Amino acid sequence: MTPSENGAIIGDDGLARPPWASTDPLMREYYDHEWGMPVRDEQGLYERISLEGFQAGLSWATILRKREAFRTAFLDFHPDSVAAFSEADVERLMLDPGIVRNRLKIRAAITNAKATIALRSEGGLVDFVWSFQPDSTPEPLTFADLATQSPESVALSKALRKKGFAFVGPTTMYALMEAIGIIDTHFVDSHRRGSSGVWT
Amino acid sequence: MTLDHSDAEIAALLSSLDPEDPAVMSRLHDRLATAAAGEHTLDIAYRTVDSPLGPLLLAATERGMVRVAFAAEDHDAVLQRLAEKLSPRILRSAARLDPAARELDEYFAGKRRLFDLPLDLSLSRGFRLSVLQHLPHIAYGRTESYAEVALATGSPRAVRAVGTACATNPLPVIVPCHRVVKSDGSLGNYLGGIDAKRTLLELEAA
Repeated sequence: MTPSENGAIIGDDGLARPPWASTDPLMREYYDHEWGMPVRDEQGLYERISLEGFQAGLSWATILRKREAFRTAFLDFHPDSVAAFSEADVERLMLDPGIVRNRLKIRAAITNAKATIALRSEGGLVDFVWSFQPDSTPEPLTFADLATQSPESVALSKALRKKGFAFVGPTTMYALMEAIGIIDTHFVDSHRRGSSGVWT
Repeated sequence: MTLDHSDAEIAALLSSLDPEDPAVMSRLHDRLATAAAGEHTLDIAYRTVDSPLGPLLLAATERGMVRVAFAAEDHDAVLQRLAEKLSPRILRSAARLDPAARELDEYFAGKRRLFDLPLDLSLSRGFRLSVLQHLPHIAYGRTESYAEVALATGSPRAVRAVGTACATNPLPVIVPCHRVVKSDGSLGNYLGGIDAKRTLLELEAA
């Protein structure tokens, strides 16, 4: 592996990736196939909001390794199923070593399922979140160009909180906007730049 | 579809039906459209009008005006998306859009400063919806910057999301996104093209 000029790492396959996606095979797979690709279905988006919420303070690799256990524990992140979870379910999940056992985050996932359902009457979670798409996307050349928040992520965070969502801070929402393709923060010379099709 | 009135009239119309005669087809079409609207089976009505900005597609639901589209957007593609998003029941109906066509004529002639039409904003959600709800508060002949609109919608720094909201305005001209310009006074972009934006602002400045 060779570091390139902008701080990306050239892998043994000759492709440049950011350091976070350059070593762990799971992270590399995620970067190559999922990160930044548009998510426009309610269940998929609810899953990603939930996982980003669980990630707060931890590494994304931890979340990816636990992803299948998360899907099992949260019934494939089917909002209607999770919304029906009771306090007994919270206690059960607190004993599940496969997931992140944080009571506040587990409760937030349930709260967010209910909030997702409530949003259906005004057009749904997907259109709501995508309505914060800026009119242009960052064009990062180097690490110095990468942000952790944006005015749009601050606005999205505030708006989701108003709709009853939890664990949706502006940094988490920036990560979400990057992860689901609302903005393209791949380095301009990355092989994944533009792969979402949102900005072409 | 059932018609509970003037079956005789319909029968007379059908008996004289000559598909080669456009006038007959047009009368039949109008009659079906009126009947459909009367029975609430017509969810979306549309027509096109000529304007100084080229042909405009106008579409309305029973709640109000739902879409205005420039020719560059491809009217057929716009109708197709309306069918997918709102209702597959779409019919050309000049009558239901007469008030809108009249108000647009008056506006382009410089005789109307305010549109008095019910609006159906159901194509827009979340942040975009709050931007659209603010735009009619920008008075005729005035402009606001993207930053001022962001401030007015409660997210003072979300300037670039205001840009997207304007660029995806389903009701251009009637919901005046053309009155939103850059902070440095330059026009900024416009879905109908920068010349269209200039035309509208010059019309309103006159």
